[in-house]
Amino acid sequence: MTIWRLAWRTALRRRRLFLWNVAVPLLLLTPVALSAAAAPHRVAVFGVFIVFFGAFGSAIPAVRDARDGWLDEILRTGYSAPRWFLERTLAGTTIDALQLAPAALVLLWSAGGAGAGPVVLLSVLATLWFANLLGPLVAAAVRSLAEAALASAALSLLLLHLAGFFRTPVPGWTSLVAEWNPYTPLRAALTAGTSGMPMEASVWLPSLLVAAGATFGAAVFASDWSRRLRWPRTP
Amino acid sequence: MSPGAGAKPLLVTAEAVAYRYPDGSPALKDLSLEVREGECLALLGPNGSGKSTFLRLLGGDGVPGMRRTAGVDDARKRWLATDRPALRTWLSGRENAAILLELHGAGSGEARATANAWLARFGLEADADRPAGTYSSGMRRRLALATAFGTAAPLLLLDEPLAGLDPGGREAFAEALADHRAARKTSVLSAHDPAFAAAHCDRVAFIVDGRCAVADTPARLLERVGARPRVEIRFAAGKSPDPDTLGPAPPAVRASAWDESAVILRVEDPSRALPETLAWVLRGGASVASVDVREPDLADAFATLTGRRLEGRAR
Repeated sequence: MTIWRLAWRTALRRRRLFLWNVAVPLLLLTPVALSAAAAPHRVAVFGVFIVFFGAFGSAIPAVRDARDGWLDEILRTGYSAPRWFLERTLAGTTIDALQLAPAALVLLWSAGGAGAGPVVLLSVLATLWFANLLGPLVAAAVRSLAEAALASAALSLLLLHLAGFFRTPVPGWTSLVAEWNPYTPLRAALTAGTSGMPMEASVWLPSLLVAAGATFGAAVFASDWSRRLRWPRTP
Repeated sequence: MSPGAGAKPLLVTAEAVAYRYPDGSPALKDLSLEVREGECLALLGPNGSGKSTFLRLLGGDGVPGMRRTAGVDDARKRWLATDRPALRTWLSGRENAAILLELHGAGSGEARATANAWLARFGLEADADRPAGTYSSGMRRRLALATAFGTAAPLLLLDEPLAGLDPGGREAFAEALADHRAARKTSVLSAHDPAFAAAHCDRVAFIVDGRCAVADTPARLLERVGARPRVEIRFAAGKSPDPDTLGPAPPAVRASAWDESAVILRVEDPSRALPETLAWVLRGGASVASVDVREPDLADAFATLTGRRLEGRAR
């Protein structure tokens, strides 16, 4: 678990950044949580923020580490690429979750839906896992920090849209896509948390299957796609 | 190629290795070279000649034409210290070294103990707990070398290991390299310092334009160009003589090479040849700015055998 420990040690060593990552979600989400905004609007804001938090926090450092040669250094040691990828994703997910925890507590408290706490927590973790999963894949497809930011934003917004955060999916293919979207449990859990409605348990299985499949596929082929993260200095 | 390292078994064989950068520009063109077990092989060549690319390919996943024996086919049995060490700037030097050693396969405690020992050997003990981001370039190089030797990898690939090192660092590096050789382990390094290569390496390969022009022991490379001392006479600006008007060179001068501001001569005995040689060039109205006499070194061998200057411009 060297990569896991490295990620945590680096995050905790950069104390200022860590505190900012706790404070900014609180500062941005608390006013929304305490506002009289309609539940769907609040869910959209929370969803966008949580997904962006995970996706940007994963893709940008991946590009930076690739550019600095650090990923090249790591992967040249002979450390298994799938292991690197899974440990990195797990560390990113847990660090993000810890940093978002205060904001999530405010969100739940304001909604008075403490009963939805466990499902919101689980859905946030699942969402952060998938967003962190996408980070290195996005980084492998781009060539700069700016491209990584744009690609992460575009991909996240598309997936959020397809999950029904901005518009309720109509029966047909959009519903089918939403059903299998990894971010759908987050929408359902946040909706339950903010409206007090119970969450349907059936939303979990298809989304988790997709997330598990994506994790498996990305890990199996990590040795191949991670080569692209070793630019520009590696032949 | 030369079997300069004797009967030592082959570790890596590169046969007509070619490589192009992603933008299509050629980096290596038919580069052929052998690396033998237990030797220290230096790659000498001007900037852009392909040394770093070759080292990266040796340390990478392999390319057509390159064969590695079982001794070094696993990434855990090789270590490449790049010309620009990548560090976690927020972590200390000790943590950086220990993490890389762990990733290379050492246990956590072993990695820390090894990092401590090698940081001390490279004079970084007092600074080991400072963030690596505060290190000077020389300290970063020391850290990278301490990590490289700490891996005890059978094949060490060191790209510009001398860059930025002060005399103390060079001494520590030379000692570590000698210990590595004594342990019958192999190292391949790129350098711009022919004197260091001649003193510390078993063989030297001259790399020019993505090819290996020649590889042999330093002694044999020098034999090929003769053992005559080298006299370099530099002229004051605008006061160079015209070689065509000087007449025949004195008998002691065996070869000469002119450029706009200097002449490089090969002479038999500098103490006897220098007065008549100076008289010869001054006859043409030259104004001499400096005279440098020295024994031939690998830079001279490089120039003679490749037709290029070691400190020449990149492609």
